[in-house]
Amino acid sequence: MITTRRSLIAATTALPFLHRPARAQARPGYLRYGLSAFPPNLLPWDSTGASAGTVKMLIHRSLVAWERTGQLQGELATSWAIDESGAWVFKLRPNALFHNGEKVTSEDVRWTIEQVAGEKSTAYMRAQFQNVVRVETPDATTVRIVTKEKIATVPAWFANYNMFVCWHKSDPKAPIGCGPYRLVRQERGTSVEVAASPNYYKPGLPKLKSILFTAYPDENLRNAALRSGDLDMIEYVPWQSMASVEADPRLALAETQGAAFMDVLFNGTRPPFNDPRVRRAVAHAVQRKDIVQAAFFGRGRTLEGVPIAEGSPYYDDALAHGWNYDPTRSKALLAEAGMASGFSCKMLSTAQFGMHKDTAEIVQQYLAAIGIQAELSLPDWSTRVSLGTRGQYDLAIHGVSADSNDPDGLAVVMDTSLSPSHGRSFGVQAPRTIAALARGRAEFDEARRIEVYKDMQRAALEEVPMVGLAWRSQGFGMDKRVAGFTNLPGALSTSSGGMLEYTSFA
Amino acid sequence: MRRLALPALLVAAIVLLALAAPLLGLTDPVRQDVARRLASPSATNLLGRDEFGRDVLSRLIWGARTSLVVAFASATIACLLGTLLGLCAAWFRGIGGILALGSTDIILCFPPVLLALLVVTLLGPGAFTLILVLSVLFVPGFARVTYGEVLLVRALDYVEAARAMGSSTPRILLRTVLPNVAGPILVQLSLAVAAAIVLESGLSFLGLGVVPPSPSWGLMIRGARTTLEQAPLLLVWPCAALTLTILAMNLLCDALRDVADPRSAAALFSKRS
Amino acid sequence: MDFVLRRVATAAVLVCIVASIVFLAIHLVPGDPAEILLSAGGAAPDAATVAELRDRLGLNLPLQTQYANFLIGVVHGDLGTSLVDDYPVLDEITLRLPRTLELIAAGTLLAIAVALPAGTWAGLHRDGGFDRIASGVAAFVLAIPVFVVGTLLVLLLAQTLHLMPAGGYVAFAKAPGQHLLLLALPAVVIAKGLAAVLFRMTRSAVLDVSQRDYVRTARAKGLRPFNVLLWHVLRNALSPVLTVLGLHMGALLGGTVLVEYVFNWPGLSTPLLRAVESRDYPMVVGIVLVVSTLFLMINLITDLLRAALDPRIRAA
Repeated sequence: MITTRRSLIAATTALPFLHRPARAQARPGYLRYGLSAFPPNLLPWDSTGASAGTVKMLIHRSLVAWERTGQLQGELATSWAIDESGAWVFKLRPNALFHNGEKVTSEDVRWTIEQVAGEKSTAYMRAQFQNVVRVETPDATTVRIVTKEKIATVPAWFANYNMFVCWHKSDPKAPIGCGPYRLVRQERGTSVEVAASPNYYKPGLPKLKSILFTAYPDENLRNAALRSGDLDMIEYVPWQSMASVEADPRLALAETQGAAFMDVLFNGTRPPFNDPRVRRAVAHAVQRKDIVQAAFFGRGRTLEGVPIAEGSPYYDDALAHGWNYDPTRSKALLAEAGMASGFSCKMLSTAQFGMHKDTAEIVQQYLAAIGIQAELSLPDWSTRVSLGTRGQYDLAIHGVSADSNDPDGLAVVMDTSLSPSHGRSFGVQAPRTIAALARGRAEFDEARRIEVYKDMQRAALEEVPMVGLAWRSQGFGMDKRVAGFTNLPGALSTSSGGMLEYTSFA
Repeated sequence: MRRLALPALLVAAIVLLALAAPLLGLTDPVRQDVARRLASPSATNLLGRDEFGRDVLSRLIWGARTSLVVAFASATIACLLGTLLGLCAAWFRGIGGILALGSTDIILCFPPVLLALLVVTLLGPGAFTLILVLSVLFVPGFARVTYGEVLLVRALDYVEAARAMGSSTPRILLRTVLPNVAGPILVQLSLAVAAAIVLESGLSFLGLGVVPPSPSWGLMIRGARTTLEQAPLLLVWPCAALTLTILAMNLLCDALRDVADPRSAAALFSKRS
Repeated sequence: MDFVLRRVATAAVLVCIVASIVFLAIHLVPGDPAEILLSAGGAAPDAATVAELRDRLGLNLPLQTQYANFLIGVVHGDLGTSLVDDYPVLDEITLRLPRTLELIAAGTLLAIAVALPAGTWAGLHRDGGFDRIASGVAAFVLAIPVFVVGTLLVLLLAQTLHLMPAGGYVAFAKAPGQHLLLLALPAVVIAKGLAAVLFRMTRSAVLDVSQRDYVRTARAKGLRPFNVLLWHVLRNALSPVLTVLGLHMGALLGGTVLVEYVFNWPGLSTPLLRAVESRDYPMVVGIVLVVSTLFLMINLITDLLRAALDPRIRAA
């Protein structure tokens, strides 16, 4: 009896050592952040995904950035305006320093633009900056950007997380930035650690001393690591776990609805989807709320029009439901196109991402209901990209985030005259939509812009360069003590990493 | 022979159930009803509904068809090919034997998942690709085991005796050598079937397996892992089906081994008498 | 000695063949590394940008030139650099291979420790209570996929009970206790499949051997049961068990993908998987080259061990 009790006492005293004091592990000023993917590389101008973007936004800075409400705020630039000749003029702050102590000057901005627009460039924003005729630097704090025609969206170009200003004498393979943090160490494929830069230009920022980014590609494990206290914060909380993160008294969920959306893309170079009526038949055939439920566990919203979010000045309620669920109409449209008896086709998506596969399965079932037998093809993501760019499909299921909340951010998805890409329909003719997008880009008057983009939506509903299916949420999960972080609205959610400079432990 | 009865019955029952799927009057395993997704078991849906609101029982039985066809086909193909290779390599040896075994070594050098990845990306995912990949993966195992056993057996007295009696080579191989090495091969077969069923689920998890919406146990497990917090039971059914099948296969192969192996059969009879 | 030399020479030829097959296959597989790199997260890259990157990465060279460059590199002990971030392939392998080997070693030891005694006992006491239960457990353990067991273990031990970390890796030199704690779960999951297979193999081998004449003779001679077991049964039963063990350990070299993924263990399988996904040609070929070399080495060692155990193989 005595021995039993003694061993029991021994066991209970040993328990605290076994039981890892998860919360005590956190060091003050030190945030442990779970990435969904390890950044392939951290080059400031190449697009290597949103997880890489999160780290890049901390190491680098650009002229402007998105602030909490989704508006542009000055970073290296204190002000910007378009002059009478149609060129954009940026005034730079005088006190910004690169990590190596050099001053940030207009010369660095010009060098950056030259690198991005250059002949050998592989930058994400390369196509946009081809419109720049020349960059003038009248003095060290003034940059004048002259474009071929007047472009309203130039400042927003600089808020993209693939467009950072770097020191003009740095090695293009490892450009030096001026962000709030500098890279301390990284282990390829596993983790990246950044520490606060001593010469950052905003007083009192960044708040955290250092951030350790660890990649947790398995969403279940990423979620478990947050729940068990191994991590203080994670990105992309899996949709099925959002409710339990909210219910956990120790944790908080920062969710942005409509951060990204799922859509259907078409091959417009051959029958049957070269006929806009057949594409419209698809648009009316799918019951969207099933996708929101099955693929996103209710963490999303239906999308029955062009992906412009409710609450945006460009939103129009009637237009937003222009592709409502109406199978009778679908069948009528098919009949009109001479396909009343239906047809078979190949639907491309990928099994690598659950949401793509799930969405495809639901679309397949609803297409079957109007007589379209779509055979699923679910290769790995890389093959899907390759087949998509080469137009080797009839219709495809895709998921993407627009470049910004401005409707011009939709050009990457809807402008089918751009170079062929897996993220756009292949060879679909949508001249009126594309013309409207171009007009919107050149229009400066807000009221007139709204009209232009309503025209664009009307045109798109008929020409169907893509079909919207569902908005999906994006959530960051974090310890309740993590303060000062905001999940940016709409498409900017993937740019929220920049908010980490304001983040601290309460 | 009595030992064989129970496991054979069990395996036969599983196979029959799978074969009879179209006759059982099950609900369409592909038919979705998202409004009632993750519904708990009820009178109409005995095992409940999955993440798309599809009937789980129906998917389990239809999925057995896919999973079992893939497993049995790949294991059988691999067994035939591998045993033949191993037998010839060990019996004839020489350059041909070395080449035969060497070619299986090449397969073994590939990490299995890499092989699956490469073949699936080249040919596209699907049941046929799966059978191809799995049988290629299992051939070396059979070849190795057969080779090793035949090497041991070929020098034994009764084989020498058969040879001395002037029996033809195929006759010696089939009548004398094969029964004596059948034990380990049959065990390997049961392991291969089991491994194939498990690998099918692993490859489906990586998105390299059967193409939805057609049901398979691997796909069901993949789906259930996502909804683990909402509907943990969904994970139980396909895992239970996997376990039962593998257990039945193991029992059957053990029993087969006893029947096929003259030594242990003799031992068994002598014990009884 | 001659035997070993011959085997080494064969192995070298095999590695060359394997590397060449992989080189060709990965280039044949659809997907363009430049395009994939620039499409991360669903982004739609500009065609001109992709073309520029292809050029920079040397992907526009004829395949035979790329192959020749690869061969020249291998001869000089250079496996090239990653297409994704220019990181030397050899560095990646030297960093991560030891971790995968550690995982495999831990899993194998665990599996042997459980399966050999259990299999021997079950084989000797066929159809007894232990045999039945253990056979059932082995089937059960084999049947539950790695990613399910992994998820459940993490859910139970890390997320609910907070007893274990939810996966990850810490260097042994940095925190030995934490290192072993992190190793435990993935090692158990690796061991589970291997133990089930080893158990069945041992059981059947022991069954087989214990009915052979020499064992009966030994028993009849009145040798102590333990000695019979050790010197006659196990010694002879080990040969097929070793073959299977060697095969499985070899297969684990590139086959720990799911375990590494589910527990976030930064071994060599993860970069291999990611390299195939991103069509990082030099990384894929380099890792396969090393893995297959190691695999052949393990095989050689098991063969030597078997020969040491069984004089008949030496003679053959």
